Amino acid sequence: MAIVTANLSLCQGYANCVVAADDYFDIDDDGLVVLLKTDVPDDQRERVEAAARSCPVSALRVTDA
Amino acid sequence: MADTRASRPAHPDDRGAGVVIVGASVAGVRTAQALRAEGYAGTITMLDAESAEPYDKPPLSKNLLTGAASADDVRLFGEGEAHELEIDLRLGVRAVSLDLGARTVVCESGERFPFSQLVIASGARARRPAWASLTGVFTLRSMADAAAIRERLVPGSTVAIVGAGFIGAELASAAQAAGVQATLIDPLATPLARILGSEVGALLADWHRSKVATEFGVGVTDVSPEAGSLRVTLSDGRRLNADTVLVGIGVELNVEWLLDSPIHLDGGVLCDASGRALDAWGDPVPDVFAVGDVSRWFAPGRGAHVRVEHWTNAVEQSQVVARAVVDPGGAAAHHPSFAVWSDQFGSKIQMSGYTQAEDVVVVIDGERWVALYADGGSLVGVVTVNWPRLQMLARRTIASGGTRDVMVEQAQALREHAAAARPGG
Repeated sequence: MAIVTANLSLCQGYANCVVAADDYFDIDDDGLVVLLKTDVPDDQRERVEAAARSCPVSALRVTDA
Repeated sequence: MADTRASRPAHPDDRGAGVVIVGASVAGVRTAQALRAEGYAGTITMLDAESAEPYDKPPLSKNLLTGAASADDVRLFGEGEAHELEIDLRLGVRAVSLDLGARTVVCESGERFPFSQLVIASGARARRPAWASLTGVFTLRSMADAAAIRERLVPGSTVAIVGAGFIGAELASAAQAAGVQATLIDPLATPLARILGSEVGALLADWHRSKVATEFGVGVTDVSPEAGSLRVTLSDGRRLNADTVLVGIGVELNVEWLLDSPIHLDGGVLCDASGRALDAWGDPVPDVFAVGDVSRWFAPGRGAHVRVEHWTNAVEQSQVVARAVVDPGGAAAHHPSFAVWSDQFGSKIQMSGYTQAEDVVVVIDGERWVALYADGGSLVGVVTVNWPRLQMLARRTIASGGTRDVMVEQAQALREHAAAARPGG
């Protein structure tokens, strides 16, 4: 089990994360990431980590819960 | 730790030499990281001609230039991560030739790096006109370039920017923000028409004219030193003086080290849809891949090879190549991603997909707007200014093959929703 966190001061609204995993990430009207959920079960971890890595400003982290 | 590499035979059958990655910008670094994420346990050696720790390039013309970000903020990969992932990072090492028979990369220093698989990620450098070596003239491609330009952006000084593409516009924006009087020059009357079509190109040209002094439709024929500053001669004969000249007129590929190899160079390292480098007969060169700006992959959707100079595509390519290295039989075809962003004059411009289609609908909502490009009714491309959410929705619509009309309706609905939410709206 892991959790995903977002650093809103880094987020620039590129939305690569939303394209990669739209069940975890959305962006609001101001262009900031919205976490739709934060718990990352082991079988989802690879996919959510890939979405986090797709962020051009490294605003997302997946860490052990 | 002893360097065992030199004692390893550079024999074609030696599978133990590991992966050598030439280039440590985003494409190279992400390939190295992805190889480990895919479970690759062999040796990974990553070379780069630059001696600076690997860093991300998009910020060079954006918040690094304005000072909003520091060198630490844009580091891609440091010694710590190299150690943790067991990646042998060799900085200040320039590849000068490829001995494919011996499966070895030969470097300027004389060092030789044998490989089992080679990933070419040597990128590109800024194109430099003949006068670019003059004092006060700069191109922007490296951290050192950005630092040198930042030093020149002294309030009250003047700067001429040659080339009004995204880099040129970002340079103009950073210069103005620093209190420098900037003039943005481009030989085309509508500089961005080539990539965004004539209608959206014209919208952005008007927007740039409202933000900064422009000379569109005139080229620069010469730059020469004059009494401590620079004299810029325009193609219509006029001259202007500037303390600094910044040049953003595209790139040249770092492929010289490959010229004597069987790898086919045609507007980039020609590759199949999984990043395997091709020879002159169009056959994959065994165990050689290319990623990032230097590569020109076959794009299945276009039926042609395309070179995409974009960060997001480089990241995606690196995943594809890492998988192909780990599982040569399972190489997947990659559909190139054309997602680009540019921060300029306080606005965020984002584009995705195919933005040269002439069938375009623009929805404007005050300071934010969207251009939606269609082909046969399907949404194929999008440009947004200050509208990240719509950019994201459009990217998903493009990916799922949705229609342009639906996106136009969504944009109009968001515009009306925003109007209703405004005070007095």
